[in-house]
Amino acid sequence: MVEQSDSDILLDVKGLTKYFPIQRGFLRRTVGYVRAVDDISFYVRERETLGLVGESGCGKTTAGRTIIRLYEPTGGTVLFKTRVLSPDGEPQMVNLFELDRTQIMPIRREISLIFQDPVGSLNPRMSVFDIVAEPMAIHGQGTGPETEESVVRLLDRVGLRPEHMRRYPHEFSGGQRQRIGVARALALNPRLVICDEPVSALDVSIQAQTLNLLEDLQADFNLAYIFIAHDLSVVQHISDRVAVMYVGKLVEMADAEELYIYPLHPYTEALMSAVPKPDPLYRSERIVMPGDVADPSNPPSGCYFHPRCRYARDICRKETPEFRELKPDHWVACHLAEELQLSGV
Amino acid sequence: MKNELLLEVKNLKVQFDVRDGIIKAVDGATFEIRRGQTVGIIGESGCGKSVTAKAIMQMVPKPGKIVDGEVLYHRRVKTGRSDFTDIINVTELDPDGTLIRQIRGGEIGMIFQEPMSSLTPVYTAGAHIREAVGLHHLIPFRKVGAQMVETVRAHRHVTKAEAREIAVDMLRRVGIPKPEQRVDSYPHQLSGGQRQRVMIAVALSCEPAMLIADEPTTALDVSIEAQILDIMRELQETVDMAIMFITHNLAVIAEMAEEICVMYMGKVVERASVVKVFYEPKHPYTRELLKSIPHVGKKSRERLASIKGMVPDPFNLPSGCVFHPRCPDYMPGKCDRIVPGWTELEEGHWVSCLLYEGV
Repeated sequence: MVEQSDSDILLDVKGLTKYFPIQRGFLRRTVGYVRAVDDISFYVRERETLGLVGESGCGKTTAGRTIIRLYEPTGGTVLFKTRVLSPDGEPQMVNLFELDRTQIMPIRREISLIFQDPVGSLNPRMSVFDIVAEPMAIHGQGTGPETEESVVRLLDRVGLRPEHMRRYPHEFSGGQRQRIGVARALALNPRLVICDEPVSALDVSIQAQTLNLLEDLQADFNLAYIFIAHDLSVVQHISDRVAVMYVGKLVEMADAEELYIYPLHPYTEALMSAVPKPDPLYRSERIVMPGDVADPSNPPSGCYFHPRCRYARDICRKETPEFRELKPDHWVACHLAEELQLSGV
Repeated sequence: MKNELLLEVKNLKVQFDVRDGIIKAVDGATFEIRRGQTVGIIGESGCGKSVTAKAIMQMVPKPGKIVDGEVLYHRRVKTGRSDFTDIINVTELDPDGTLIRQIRGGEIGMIFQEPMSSLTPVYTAGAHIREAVGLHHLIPFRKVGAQMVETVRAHRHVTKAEAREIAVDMLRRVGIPKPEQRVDSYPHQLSGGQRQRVMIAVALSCEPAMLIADEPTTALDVSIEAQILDIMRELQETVDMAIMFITHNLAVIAEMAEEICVMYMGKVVERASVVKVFYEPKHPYTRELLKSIPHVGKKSRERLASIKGMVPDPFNLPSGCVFHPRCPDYMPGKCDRIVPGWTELEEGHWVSCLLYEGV
């Protein structure tokens, strides 16, 4: 799908699949599967931000976690350009899903995570120093005064003071806690950071501070982000490209601006029209999607979106659309993508 | 009738006396709501939005207390021959009295953020009755229909069968499919959006004069949020109900409200029509808040403007104007000493800032 010659690709996900079994009864027999992530393919270039959006329960978070094997994948490959395996730092594409636990360890240094809940993701009984230094200890980087120095440097970088090091998470506000989470994510000099709803728990003014911080850090440390969120305006602001998920599948992926202005998938169009605009004089025609999000353990036939799609035809009920590159770098999974004239924002 | 006053909040002060000191959760809030009007209250967490709403219903949780101010509710009373309006000061009512219980949930309905999350599944019978009177939450393990019937029966004098009919009808009006069957579902059998719709149905089933909606769509996805907002607007048109819409989401408020109150640290800092607030914001806090949100559609490589610093410690509020440490227009020697009063810049546009006081 993606030419291997594209040397800028940092992460290349192909056919990523994660099913969770549904077990019932005394013998815990598997009676079905929740298709949380169902055969999705995308790529992330170096130093770019890929936004991943979709309604709750569409599999965004599962996709992020399966990539670094916090969940064991059901299928697919994830190629990651690593620099830690060869001694001279020569980049090398490795399939993360073929490595065993000890082999993947060093690569985990290069991919880190920032979580949504700044309260739940920090251990209340560890001081800020311990929290930020923990990844270094696990990976055997730096000891004693050296660690302290790097922790101070990291805290300074995210806008916290050195004396904060001895304090505990409960002494900080939500925005500051999220900064601690960011400092921890950067402790090992990662190249890819998976940000799972990093600002959705924060107030507007703090959200802006955090987004600016993430942008600054990206420039300074040459980071690539996978930015998972449900707030479409935030995602558009921070992302270079955006991928839209619906019930475990990608429906569209394109450059951020193009996706918002010229969407090719009816789901993207409906989602865009539903975003409230902070302008009292602007009244848009909302496209109402009837019904609820499909059940991932029992998805509809054909295109999963067809029961809620206002353009649906016979083919949509029968055949699953392929995720294809309709225009350069603009991918879509819709049978009718060529004919429909959809409006963006 | 549109200009008839429904609710006046005058210099309302609510304080929480906790071990570490006194928190001034609401510190002199003043605003009014007219019949059929939607007033938006915006502000960041901890600014006193929700406490204001609770004070209006005379249900400030302990150890909170209304220490000053008035909440005047203009109650329409229908007697046999003539209708007249009775003005009730809610702050003087007994929080457990008959009158406030008629108003609360009956004449002033409420919807809260996530109806399921604030509940304990192990409730006692007493708690359960209080809940049913308070009607703020859905009770798990009890059928939706039964809960609605109870509400209707508590506030309207109808038989059980009639109440059930009203319940089914309300569920249909908020767009729940197959309401005859859904009326017998339990809350956990509904999706988040459906639960919120049931909450709206419960709140509206007594035909309230006003609805207090405290972050009603914050926990929902955009597509569901859009549905809920549409339903609220539609119902408002048909029943001529005022809405007090509390949120931190500026985009939602821009779509819903006619008037906006901006709150910061327990104070209302600006009050004006929605267009004035978005197009000619006067208070520095309002301006900064508007600049800090990303706009969908317009893609720019620009950084977001963020308000410097953090919300101050409620035990240790800054002197003078509470916003001065974060304010871009801070005037040393003035803002840190003088508490700003209220200035009416033009009709209906109020601001509390020393920039406009000519000091």
